[in-house]
Amino acid sequence: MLRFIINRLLQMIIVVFGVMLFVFIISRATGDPIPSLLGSNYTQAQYDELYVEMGFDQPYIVQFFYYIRDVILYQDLGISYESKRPVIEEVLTRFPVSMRLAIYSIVIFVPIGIAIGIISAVKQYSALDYTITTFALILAAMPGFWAGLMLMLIFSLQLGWLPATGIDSWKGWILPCVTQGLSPIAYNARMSRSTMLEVIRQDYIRTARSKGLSEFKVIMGHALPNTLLPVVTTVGTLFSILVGGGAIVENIFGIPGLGSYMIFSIQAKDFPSVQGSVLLFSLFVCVVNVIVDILYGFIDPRVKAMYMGTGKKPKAQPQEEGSAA
Amino acid sequence: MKKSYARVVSLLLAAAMLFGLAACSSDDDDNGDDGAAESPASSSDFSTIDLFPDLDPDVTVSTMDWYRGDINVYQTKDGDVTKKTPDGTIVFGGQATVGACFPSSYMMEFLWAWNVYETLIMRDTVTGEFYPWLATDYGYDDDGNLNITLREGVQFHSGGTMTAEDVLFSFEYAAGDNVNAATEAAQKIDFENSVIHDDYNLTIVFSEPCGSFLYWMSSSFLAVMSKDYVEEMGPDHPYLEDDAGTGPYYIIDSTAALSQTFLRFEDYWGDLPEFDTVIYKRYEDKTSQFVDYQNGEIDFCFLNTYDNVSRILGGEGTDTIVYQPPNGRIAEINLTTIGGESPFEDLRVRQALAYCINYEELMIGVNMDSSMATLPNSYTPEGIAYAINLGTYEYNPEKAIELLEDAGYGPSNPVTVSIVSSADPGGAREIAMEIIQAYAAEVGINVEINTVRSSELNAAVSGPTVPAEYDMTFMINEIGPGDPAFRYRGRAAYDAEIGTFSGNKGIDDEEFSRLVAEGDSTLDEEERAEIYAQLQELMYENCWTIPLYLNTCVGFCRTYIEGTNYFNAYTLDWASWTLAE
Repeated sequence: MLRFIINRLLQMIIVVFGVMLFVFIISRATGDPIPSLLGSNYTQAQYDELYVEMGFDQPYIVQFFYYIRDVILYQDLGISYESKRPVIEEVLTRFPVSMRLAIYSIVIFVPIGIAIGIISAVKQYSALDYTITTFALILAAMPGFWAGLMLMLIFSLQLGWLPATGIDSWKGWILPCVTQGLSPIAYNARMSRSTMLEVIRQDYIRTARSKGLSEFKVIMGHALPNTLLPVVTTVGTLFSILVGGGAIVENIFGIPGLGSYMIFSIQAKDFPSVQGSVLLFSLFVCVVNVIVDILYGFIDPRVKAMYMGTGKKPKAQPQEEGSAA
Repeated sequence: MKKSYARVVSLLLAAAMLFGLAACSSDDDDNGDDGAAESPASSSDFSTIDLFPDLDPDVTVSTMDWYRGDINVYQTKDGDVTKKTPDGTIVFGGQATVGACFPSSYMMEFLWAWNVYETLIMRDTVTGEFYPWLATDYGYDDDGNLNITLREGVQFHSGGTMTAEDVLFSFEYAAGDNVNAATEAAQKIDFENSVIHDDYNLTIVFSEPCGSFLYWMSSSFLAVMSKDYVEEMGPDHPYLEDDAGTGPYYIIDSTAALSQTFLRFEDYWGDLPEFDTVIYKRYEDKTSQFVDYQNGEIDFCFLNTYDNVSRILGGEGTDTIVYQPPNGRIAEINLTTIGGESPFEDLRVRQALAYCINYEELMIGVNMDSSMATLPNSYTPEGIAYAINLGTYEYNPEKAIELLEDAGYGPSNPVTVSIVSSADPGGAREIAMEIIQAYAAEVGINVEINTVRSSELNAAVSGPTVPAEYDMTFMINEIGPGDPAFRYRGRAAYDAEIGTFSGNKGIDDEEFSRLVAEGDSTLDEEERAEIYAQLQELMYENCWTIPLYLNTCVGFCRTYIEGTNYFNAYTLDWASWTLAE
């Protein structure tokens, strides 16, 4: 297992390095930030001075080297062009807010999605199944910004139950979480439905039924654990998406998260902030993926077996033998 | 059975999609960049154009004087709205982002400037007259030097008392190389020979006469800051949790792109403001801002959509005053008159273009009425309308055709010119250019639209000459501090400086050059106004630039805040606002 973890961590370092290089190149390709910094009137001398001061006169490879050096040795992500504050401070202040929002959305809405997906699968072709499938389809198709605005207009403007913006109280979290949670509900409902449909057709389920177990026990005891296996991976990916991709929700609901900061920095051509945000985000995605992989290793005996004992890759086994039930 | 379920599901799906589409279409942002719309009204007197035709009967409309005409102010009926924001606090919602709270910074949000930093003199927003502020006395001597006596006992937020050294330091800082947007006026100061007589008296000596200096001195760029504090903190200090000003409020907290908090300065030299805290909330989304206003989360809503204002004035809102200030931006076309090949070297062709555009329809088409008749042009140093009666040209296509024929153009020999701008697809500039193109085509002028990156356009129009392929440029320039309503727009007028403009266009006109030079060296305000009025008339007659429209925006606030008006609603003089009994 240790070899597996080390393997994943090494992969993570390569990925993060690749992301840093990619972001560095893309940032430089989006245009010259100096005119934005100097305003609409500046002399060539002012431009040149700032150009040198910011290190743009150096070859790209040197600039990148300095950037990597500062990040690794000094944990220095640079100074924001906009706020003139250290980027590390800016992103670390915002990151927990985005994390919190993503965690709330996942903890509340993923189980709901899984539950309705399973009900839908168990009651396949029933009115309930059609309703759930349609509902999931609508949720999946609904743009987040639109859903957010509609929820705001209904629950904040019309009913006056919840605040429209800000997270000063627990009430302020409700609308953003629901908006962010709509997509996980839909995604997990559809995914758990299809997985459950596969699982309940397996021989070991038939065996369980033939042993006289109640349908509830069959589903909860034998089918559900196997249905949840792919969901673990989904939740990990979803978590990463929600943390970094919550920019729209954060903007609509005035939440000081990493997503809205990234958008703001991109608009302002604030290279250090963009690079810092993306770096943090990519690190986070990698870490989450490693955790998910490790968890998967523990949950799925097939993966566990791959890295245990002799360390040899096990022979392919029929899926029903790998039942975690 | 299954089929009937499928039908039901399909119907539900279709209904949901229709609902979605309907909801989406009813929530359009109409702040001027979203395309053409039908006009609710039209009038040749744009200053009184009926912007909100579906007014609730209980809405009262009053007018305020502006030097360009009357401005409508709307007030909804009284309701039961009470202040929900904390006692002693105003919460202000806007869209602008703030980079730093520092006078010379390009990134500083100008609207705040007047609450944190102060200038030696101020300019009356209605009459346009200067009056002393941090200076108690000022005036030019016979040599053109400016003698200033400072107010005593003015404290900086950062500590210490304002002295003449701080004033000279602030001017020098604005003119220095280490400043992002140094002003031309400050650079005309001869700092070596300027004299500090004592803590409260100084004489500013100029290396060359600078007629517009008083205007600049009343702009945020030449606001006074603490020398000691700025030197201590250095040029890279963010000034987002502290500042170096003297104003009635000081900044204590800032979250990039989201909010800033200001506190009342208890050692302020003047009358203390009633509100002890002002919170500025930035909204990326205007619907969120509007909902927060309706819910009482913010007291003042700045820069929202006309659609939302229409809702308020149509009966959905109570206890609200709506202002519609010009936002200080003029759309104009600059014609290239140099290079030996441009058709615009012929005055008649320039005039033909000026006469072929229906300006009223253009305004309506581009901005959904969020615009007003414009100034003659923005190029006089302070960007003010000196020639008060001049505005846009008359719409007269017959005259345009006649002028073109006189110039030797016609159906068999059409004029072909290019128009260049930095336009987003579907944005206001692109729409404006397309409308101009359509009107020009009606009289036989073929206009080719070229869009370039804004940096490319800026480089072209601020360079020594306009590139040969630029027959005309579509620009949105900003009015300068000379305009009474736009005293904070220090940067803007500099952008559109007449020297740059004329040099760039190669305007070779003796009278023009004489008036420019004379205006810049005349220190008497009345004389300068006369000279610049003549200059604007000359520019109008020669059609070097064609003003199109003046953009406006909307702001609204609760009636429980007293002391707001059309002007301070836009310049955000928080100190003059009070809470109604």
